[in-house]
Amino acid sequence: MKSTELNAKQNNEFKSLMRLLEAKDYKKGLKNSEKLLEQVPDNQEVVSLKAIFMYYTEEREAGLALAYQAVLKNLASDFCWHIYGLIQKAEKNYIQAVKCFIQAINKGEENLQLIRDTANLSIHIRDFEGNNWLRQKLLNSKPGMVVNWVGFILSQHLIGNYAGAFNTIKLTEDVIKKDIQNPIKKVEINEFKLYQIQLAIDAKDFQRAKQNLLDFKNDITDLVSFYELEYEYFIKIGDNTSAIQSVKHLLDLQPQNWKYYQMLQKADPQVDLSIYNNTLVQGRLLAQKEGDSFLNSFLQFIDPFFQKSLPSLFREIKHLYTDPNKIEIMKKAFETYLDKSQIEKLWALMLLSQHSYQIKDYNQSLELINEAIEHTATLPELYLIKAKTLKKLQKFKEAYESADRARQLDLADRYLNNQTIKYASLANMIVVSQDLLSLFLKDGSDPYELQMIWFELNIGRTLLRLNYLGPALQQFNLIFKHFQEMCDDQLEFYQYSIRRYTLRSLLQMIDAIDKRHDAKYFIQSAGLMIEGLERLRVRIQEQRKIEQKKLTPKEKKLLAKQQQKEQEEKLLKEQFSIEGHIFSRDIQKRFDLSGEQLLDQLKTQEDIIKMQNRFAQVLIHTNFNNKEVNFQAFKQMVGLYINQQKPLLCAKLLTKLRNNETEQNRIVNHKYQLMLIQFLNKYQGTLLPYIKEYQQDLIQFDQQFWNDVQIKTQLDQIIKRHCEAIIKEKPFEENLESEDLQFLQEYPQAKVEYMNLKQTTHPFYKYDPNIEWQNHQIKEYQEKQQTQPL
Amino acid sequence: MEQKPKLAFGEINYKNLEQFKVITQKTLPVSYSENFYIKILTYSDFSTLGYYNDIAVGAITARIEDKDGKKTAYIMTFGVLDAYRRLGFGTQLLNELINRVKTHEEIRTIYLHMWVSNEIGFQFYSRHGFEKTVYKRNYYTDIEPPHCYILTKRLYPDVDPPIPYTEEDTEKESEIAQQ
Repeated sequence: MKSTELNAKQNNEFKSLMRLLEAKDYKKGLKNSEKLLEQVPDNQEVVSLKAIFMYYTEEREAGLALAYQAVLKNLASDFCWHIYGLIQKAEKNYIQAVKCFIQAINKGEENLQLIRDTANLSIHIRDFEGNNWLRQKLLNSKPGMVVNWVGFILSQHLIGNYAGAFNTIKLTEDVIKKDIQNPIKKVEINEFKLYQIQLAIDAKDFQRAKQNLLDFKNDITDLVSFYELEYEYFIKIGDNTSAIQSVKHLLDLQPQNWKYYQMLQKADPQVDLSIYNNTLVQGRLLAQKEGDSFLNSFLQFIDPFFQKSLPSLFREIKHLYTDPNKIEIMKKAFETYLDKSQIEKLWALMLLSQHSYQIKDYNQSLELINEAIEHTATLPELYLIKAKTLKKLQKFKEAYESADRARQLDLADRYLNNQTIKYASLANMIVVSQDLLSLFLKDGSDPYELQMIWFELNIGRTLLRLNYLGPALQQFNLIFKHFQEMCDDQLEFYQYSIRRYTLRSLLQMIDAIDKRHDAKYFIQSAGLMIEGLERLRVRIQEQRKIEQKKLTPKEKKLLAKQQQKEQEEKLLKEQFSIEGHIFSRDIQKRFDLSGEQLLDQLKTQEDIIKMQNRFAQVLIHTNFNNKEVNFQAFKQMVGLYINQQKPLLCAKLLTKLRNNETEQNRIVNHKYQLMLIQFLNKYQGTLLPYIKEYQQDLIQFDQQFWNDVQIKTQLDQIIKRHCEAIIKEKPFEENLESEDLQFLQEYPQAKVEYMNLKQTTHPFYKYDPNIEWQNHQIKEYQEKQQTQPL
Repeated sequence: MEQKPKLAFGEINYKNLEQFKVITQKTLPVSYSENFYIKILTYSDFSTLGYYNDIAVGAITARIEDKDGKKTAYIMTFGVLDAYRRLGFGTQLLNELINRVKTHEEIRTIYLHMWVSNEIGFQFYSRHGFEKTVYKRNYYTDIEPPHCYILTKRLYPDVDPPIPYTEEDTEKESEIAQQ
């Protein structure tokens, strides 16, 4: 008998270890597995068990390494592979986990649970071929189970084997009929039939699609989905007349859905939408009218709002402001209501204020909204409009006060509370934001557990502005994690969907998750993260310089003294941390709200650049339907990729910048394009053929640009000089000074004295009410200490 | 003729107390303490906000008092925002109050303090059956003249006897009280 084999008694021991693993009794498991190993030190399966027990008893790294060793020493053991796979899965290394499980499946006896889990994991990592193979295995083992058939259909669909999928569907229907014990439910039939129609359309098998639409109509309860599919089918085969009928059914079901009117127009470009007499359509149609005809229709449109008092009117007509000919007419129309009844006067004042806001006359807007508030001081909406206007006038504190007034007037309104939080963080009031948020959180919950990205982003932005780099970066880091968690949460969803026939939802989910980073909040936080990390990099660089300077003994003494004082202050301040004051110590630690753990990983330039790349490599593939949002984030990658000498990424970035040019960012955008082209022009490496098309004459490109551009602001002028410096390859060393916010956004170093790392004096970046709060807390704390009896 | 706009009524509670505060500050010459507003919440039976088009435009608040062993309702505050005057909202608010008070049969009268110079106010109240029952000297400390009337409405004038008109002086009363 080999020394590695287990005798009967040891075998029983092994089995009891397995039970401990299932019962999650890791401590006892670890102890017992070590005992067993004393007898059979070379049995790698027992080693594997010890490894996973270690992994779950806070010896993560060691457990992972040991499991790997066990696999290497016994490659033939399915058990060792299985355990190693489980650890990889717990580590969220899903690709590795799948590889391990497949080894275990190939080497061991049939384990249906393992095959099913692996199949779901393979969907998760989008290995559709692997999923197909595993689903086939499941089906071969248990052909009597409907769920295995449905899983196999989907797996064929995902690899584009439509003929196979249709074939399997036919067989599946038979299995469903035979399964008398578990009759299919009506909702399940509905889902399954809709899926089959969609599959036929996706496969471009229009004959089948037509047949399915005819045959299944009576089985389908979700008529909206049915007619949407029918419409899609008719459009694809070019039968617009029938498509019109489909979309008319949709309009009967949902007359307030603008999407369907667009679909109708697509099927019938000549259609006259004016026959649809609802506010949605009538509001949209206003855009097509001109002059007197517009004025009449406009008055007719807005009048019922004045009578019914809908403060939401402006939303319906905002789109008309793209036409300069309409602006004055609308203003006149609003003004006619100033002399009518009191309530009409109020709405007129409110609309006129919104009107002025829309045409960027913020002072006028403020005056009008103040008049409206004087008229009716109890209406919260008015204070919100005022806050919005004050924000544009860069009076952030006053904007917060006005939003807070709205909130106080109706404490039950969550929306007002949310808006006030946004304005509070815009006024740098982190502590207030947290307090306000807690008003609407249930006891014990916190925004980080709840993945409140909007809140984290607002707080992160404020922290970054005030230069609390650690806590700021951690907010963005948490957002990044939430996006990953969103994806990982899906793991539970695949098998469930297959079991419930909701394959269409599953496909939608896969698509949505694949596109999850194309979201405003992600793009904004990724951009801010890269920017914040850059600031951290500069800060570390500067600190190094100071440290390397030779100091006299006296200076050294002073420095030591100062450092000690800073240390003491730091300890005190930690008790009243601004970044998480409302949250318990436990939450602060669990989510690393001070950012300390994060900063520990960012001690060198290399660490920081590595982290920047982690965000950039996701960011570079994103796209959101707001060019301004895109551009503000993408521009953060320019310096990063040039410094790292990455020509392909620079070329890609150049295209992205060009695609996101707007009237507003044109000049700034040009500067970054220039930097990229400058780099690409000089590149001579092996990738040259791929970037050749991006190279061009820099001087000519620059001159052409400025020829048809109007220089309006101080920022424009500086950028022009900056561009000249880029072309001449000279460092841009102007003494920048400005109090303009846009300017500071582009040149945050304006007015900065680098050695002391001072920031601009602009209150937006400087005014920190949180410090007042903190000092107050510290003072109270110290007083309490003193008065305490000895 | 144009139809008179109708008010809707809603309770004053902790969540909308600020709206009541705004209405009171905008309509009454007296400034109340924060404590007063908190107390209002405890008199919710007769107090109400008046909504026009979902906007709070007026409010009336009252409490029950014991006066010589009899129960009476005392109007603490009553006001409609300037822009919404002359639309009949005051009448609607007062009628709402009267209807609510009338559900308590033991309450026979409603009374309030009114500044002597408030001519328009008096016209309004007398239209609604209020009578001058007391002339109170030196009632206010922060407005000139500092005197007021107590106006009282008998809810059941056919059954209850008229109330005699008297005069009082707040300063003298408090002097006596001090002695």
